[in-house]
Amino acid sequence: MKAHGWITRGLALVVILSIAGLAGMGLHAFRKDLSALQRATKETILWSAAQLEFEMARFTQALAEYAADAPDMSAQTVNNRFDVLWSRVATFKTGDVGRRLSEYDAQSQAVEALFEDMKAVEPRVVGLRDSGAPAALAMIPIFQAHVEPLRQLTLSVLHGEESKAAEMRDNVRASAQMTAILSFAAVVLSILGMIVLAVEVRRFRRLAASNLALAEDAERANLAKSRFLAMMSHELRTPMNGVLGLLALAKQPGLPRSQLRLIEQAEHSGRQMIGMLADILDFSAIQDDRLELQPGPFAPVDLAREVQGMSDPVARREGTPLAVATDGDCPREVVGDLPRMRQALSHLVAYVLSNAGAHDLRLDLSYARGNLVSVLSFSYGAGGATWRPELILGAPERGADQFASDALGPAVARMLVERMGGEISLESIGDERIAVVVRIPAEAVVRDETCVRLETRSAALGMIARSFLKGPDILFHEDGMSRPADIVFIEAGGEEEQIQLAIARRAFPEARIIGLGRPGSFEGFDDYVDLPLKPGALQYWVSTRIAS
Amino acid sequence: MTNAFPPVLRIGLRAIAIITALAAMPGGAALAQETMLTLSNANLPAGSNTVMLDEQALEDMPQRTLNTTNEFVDGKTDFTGPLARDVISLIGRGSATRVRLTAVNDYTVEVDLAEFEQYDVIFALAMNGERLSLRDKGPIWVIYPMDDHAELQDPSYNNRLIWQLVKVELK
Repeated sequence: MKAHGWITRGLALVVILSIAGLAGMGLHAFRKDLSALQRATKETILWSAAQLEFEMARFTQALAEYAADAPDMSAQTVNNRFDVLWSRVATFKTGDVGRRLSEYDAQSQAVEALFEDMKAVEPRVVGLRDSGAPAALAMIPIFQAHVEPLRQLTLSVLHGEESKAAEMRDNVRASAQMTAILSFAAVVLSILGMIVLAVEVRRFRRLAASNLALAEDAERANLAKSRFLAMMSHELRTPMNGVLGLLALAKQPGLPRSQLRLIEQAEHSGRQMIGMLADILDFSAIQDDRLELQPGPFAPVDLAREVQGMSDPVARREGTPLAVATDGDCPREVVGDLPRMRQALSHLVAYVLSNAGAHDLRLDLSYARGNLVSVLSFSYGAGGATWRPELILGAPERGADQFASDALGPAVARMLVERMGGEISLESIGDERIAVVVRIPAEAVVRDETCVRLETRSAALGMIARSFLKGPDILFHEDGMSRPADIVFIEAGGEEEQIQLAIARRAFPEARIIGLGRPGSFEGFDDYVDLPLKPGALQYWVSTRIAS
Repeated sequence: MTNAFPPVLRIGLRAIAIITALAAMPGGAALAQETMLTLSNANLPAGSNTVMLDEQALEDMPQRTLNTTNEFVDGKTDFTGPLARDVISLIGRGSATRVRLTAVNDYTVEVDLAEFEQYDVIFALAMNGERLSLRDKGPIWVIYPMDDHAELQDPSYNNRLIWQLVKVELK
């Protein structure tokens, strides 16, 4: 098949080159003929040769008329005609016309002989006025002697030019024949090329149809496999849930500790199997493009907390707690598929905990350029012999026989992230720490939030105030946040009241400052709320801020 | 020797002098020994339809030099002389559209007057600085700027390089 393709391409190249070569030859022949035609029509040498003969006849006639004392003939006229004859002889000595004429006269030297005689009789012509008719009469035989040689010269030019014209006609005829042959050859080659192309097109069509059929077969087989996998997973999960239910019932109080441990062990294994079946279902769904995302608003803080909660059993088992943190500038809410993000991050956490021997494990959430960025960082542990970053990054697919169970979690995580339009990368962040960075596009939810800062010495008062204010439109200001506070509640009373007031005024010059309790000095406070706190009193200030 | 009159005035005066001399002579006999070129325009009234120019009149006109080749000279050659359209303007074009050029041996060529407007055709008096004589295609050789225009390479223009020009007739 491959050799056939080369032969076809080679043949096509030969055809194209042949057509181009024939066209080039035709063009060259055409230009050559055109050039010859231009030369032939340009060089009017027959005219020049005839003019010499003619002018010599006119001069001889002038001499005869002068000798016969004709009334209109003078010595000046004879001299003028002599000069004109001279100019005709001079035509043979310069330019392309002169060179061509001289070629015809090379053998007989008729023109040169005439010129020699003209030079010899020139003084006699000039002095004709004094010498009179006899001198003119004496010169006539000298020029009559040149009549025949000049006629022969004219005839030789005539015949020579005729021969050249005939030769040119032959050339043009040959050229026309050649052009016809070349055109015919080009047509034949073109037809051949078209036939070859048609054959090739048919071959490629057959090949494409065959490939399409194979691809459709493979797709159908893959779909059948996925459906079988999904069905089997589903069928396995149902009885396994039954087993787990029975195990839960079996955990009766008063069971010996050893039996309880065995039941817990069985429960753990069962849950693990349920989780794996869920992964297989997801894997299958993503591969079949059946996974539907359900985006909605959620708080990144909740995502971090839920990942921490889901990873807790593995973290406890590995003895490495997962620390989570959300950047202060991270939007309170973003739009995304929370369950799928949680699932992807949990798989990654579980994989690095189980396979990378990770310790000092942290999950930091932040927001940058429309992406929710999850940085899972850890120190690479000694037990990380089975850590294979390619499973996270999406290395070339391995064969089914090499697809180990530990690869399922990272693969599902990667496919989920990609399905959500995100990407996973690995970065070294120094101090022998590695970071798995997950970026997932998530639009920030914009709400008209009121940023509230609480300055309380009493933790109880702070918690009460926070619980009263908590709501979707309230953003609690924390240290380090770039956004300034809109309202600052300061616990009134005591020596620190004025200090906190001064700090708040300097940090948030635009904010309203409300005392929690009656201030010792009203100066600097916008207002205050009485203690004990009431929800309505605090929310009043939030609502008035929005109204203003 | 310098002349106090500007060139155009000098040419005019010279041409008028020749016409006057012709008119004064019995039978209108030409001053054959002085006249180099005869201009005539059949479309003008009798009495003012002929102008005869001598060598000096032609030399007093603005001279143009063309550097060109043709089939009768070796390589690029300088030709100097007045523009054909300037010479014709001495008599006036009137309604004429064609011009017949006649050589000393009565050889004639007829061309469109428009050609003299389109191309800088000169009535060459000198070749490579040398005054053209009757023995060398003089005293006037019609020269087209053949190297400046590709279309002038056509053989039909080669035949218009009439030499030993003596008469220009507008029709």
